[in-house]
Amino acid sequence: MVADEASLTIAVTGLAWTTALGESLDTVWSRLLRSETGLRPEPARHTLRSDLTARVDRWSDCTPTERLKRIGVHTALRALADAKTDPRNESVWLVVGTSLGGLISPESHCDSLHDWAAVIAEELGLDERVVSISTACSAGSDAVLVGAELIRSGMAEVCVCGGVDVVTAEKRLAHSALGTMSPSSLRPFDRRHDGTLLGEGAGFLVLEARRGPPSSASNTYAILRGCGSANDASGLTAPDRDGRAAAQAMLRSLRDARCDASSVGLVSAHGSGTPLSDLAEARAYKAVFSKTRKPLIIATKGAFGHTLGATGAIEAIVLVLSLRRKCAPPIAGLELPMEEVDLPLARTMILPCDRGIGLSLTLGFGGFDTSLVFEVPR
Amino acid sequence: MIHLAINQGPVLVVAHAESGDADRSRFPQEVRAAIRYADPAAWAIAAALGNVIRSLPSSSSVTGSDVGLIVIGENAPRDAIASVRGTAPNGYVSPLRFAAAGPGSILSVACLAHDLRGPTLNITNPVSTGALPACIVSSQWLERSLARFVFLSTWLPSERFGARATSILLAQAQQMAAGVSRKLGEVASYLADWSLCGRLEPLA
Repeated sequence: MVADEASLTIAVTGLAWTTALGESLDTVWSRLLRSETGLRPEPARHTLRSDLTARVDRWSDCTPTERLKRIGVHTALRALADAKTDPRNESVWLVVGTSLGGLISPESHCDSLHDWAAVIAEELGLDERVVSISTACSAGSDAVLVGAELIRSGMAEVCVCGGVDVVTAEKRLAHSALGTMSPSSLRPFDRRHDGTLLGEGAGFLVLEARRGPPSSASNTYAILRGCGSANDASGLTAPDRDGRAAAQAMLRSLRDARCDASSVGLVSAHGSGTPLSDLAEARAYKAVFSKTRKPLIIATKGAFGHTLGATGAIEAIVLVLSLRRKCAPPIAGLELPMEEVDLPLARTMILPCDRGIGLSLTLGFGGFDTSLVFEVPR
Repeated sequence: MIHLAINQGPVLVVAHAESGDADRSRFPQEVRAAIRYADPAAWAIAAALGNVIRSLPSSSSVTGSDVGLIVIGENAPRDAIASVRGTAPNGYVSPLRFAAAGPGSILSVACLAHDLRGPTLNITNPVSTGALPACIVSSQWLERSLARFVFLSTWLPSERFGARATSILLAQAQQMAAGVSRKLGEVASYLADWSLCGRLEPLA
C-alpha cells in the first residue's frame, strides 16, 4: 500500500465538538471535571419514561435533518480551523457518521442516507471527497477508523472524521418503548443503572499523515495508534451478553497499535447505563485487562447524554484531552459501582492518569463494537 | 490520490454470488425470530453471502471472528422507517420496527445467519462513490490481518423479491490457492456497475 507505511503515523491535529455542555474544548472539559450534566427536562407531546434529554442549544426551530447538517458543518469547520487545514486541498476528505440522524421524523421526506453528509462536504468545499457511515452508536468511532484507513492507503493525507446526531421525538418514543430509556437518570456502571438518556451533538477529529518518527509537534494532540472492530452477531438491539465481540474489538485495536493491554492507562467506556450493555462491557474489560495492570475507566454519557452516532467521536475527544491533561474526569451519575466492574472507575474525584496510551470503546445496536487506541507521547 | 488507490492491490476475489430469491423461510427460525421486520435488502444480502459460502469447498471456513462484512449503499430501510414515521405522531413507535429502521440493521441478518463476528461497516454513500473506500478498508483489514476474509456487498430494489444483492468474498492475495487477483479499482468499478444494472458476469 503506502510505500513508507512502516514510518507512517496518524496524528490528531484538530479537535472540535458541539455538545449540551457547550462548544469550547476548555469550557466543556472544566464542566466534565465538575461532574456537570447537560441532561435537562424537556416536555414531550406524549408520555415517556423520562423527560430528560441533553440538547444542543442552537437551531431549535429547524427540522431534525437540517439541525444534523448545521451542527455537522459548524463543528467540522471548527475542527479544520483548529488544525489550520484548508479543506479545499485535494488531499482532504470528510468521513462522517450518524445513527438514524433525522431520518425517522415525519418532516423528513428523504430516504437517502448520504445526502446530509454530501451537504456538509459541499459547505466545507470538499466536493465529493466524503464518506458517510451508519453503524448506530459506533458511527462516530467508525468514521475515525475509516479515516485512518484512507490515510494509511494513501488515498487521503488529511481526514476530518466524526459523528453527528440529533434527538428527535420519535427516538425518544422508541427508546421509551424499547425500555432502554432510564426513568430516573443515566448511571454508567452503577448498581442502580436502569437505562440511558438521549443526547445530541457532534465531535470531529482531524487526522493527518505524518512520516518519520512520531513527534510532539505543537499541533499534534495525539497519535492514533490503532483501530479495531468486531460484530456481536446477536441481533438488532441486545448485545452479546458475554462481551466477547467487544473484547475482540479491543484486542484487535491493541494488536493494530502494536501494544498490549498492560500499556493502556485509560479507557473511555461506552457506559450507556443500560443493565445489559453495562454488564456485557464489564465482562469485556475483564477479558482484556484481568491479567494486566488495570487502566482507569471514564464514562461521559451521564454528562453528555447518549449522543448516539456522535458518541464515539465525542468520547474519543474526551480521551485525548484526558491523556494530554493527565487526569480523568469523574463519571457523572455513578455512585455505587457494579461489582462486575473490576477496573478502577473515576468516581467522585479527578484521578491522575500517568500513562500515555488510552482506548475508547463504543457498542452499537446491531452489534457494531469499535475500539480506538490513542497515544500522547510522554 | 484516487488514481493511486485504484491501482492498489492486488486483492484476491475468492468467490462471488448473487442473492436470487431471498426467501426468508430458508433461514433458521431463530434468525427469523431475532430479526423481525428487517428490510428485504438485509435478507437479500444474507442470501447472497449464503450463496457465496455454499460455492466454496467444504473445507473452507468463512465464518467467525476473523471474517468481516462491508455493505455499501445509500438507501434507507424504507418500510421500517415509513412505519415509524407513520405511528409516531400518535404517540407510539414499535420497538421492533424502530430497531429495523436503523441503517446498520442491513448487516444484522447476514451477521447472525452466518456467524460473522469480524469487523463490519455500513458505508452509506451511493455505490459509485462508496465502493472504492469500501475496497480500501477491506484491503487494509486483510493486509494487517485484522480479518482473514471480508465480504463486500451491495443491493438493488427488486420488484419480484423486494431486493437483490451481490456479494464478493475477498482474501489476501497470498492466502489462498484459488481465486482471481484484482486491483481494488476493478472490484470497486464492478460494484458500481452492478449497482446500476444488476446484471453482470460474475467477478470470480
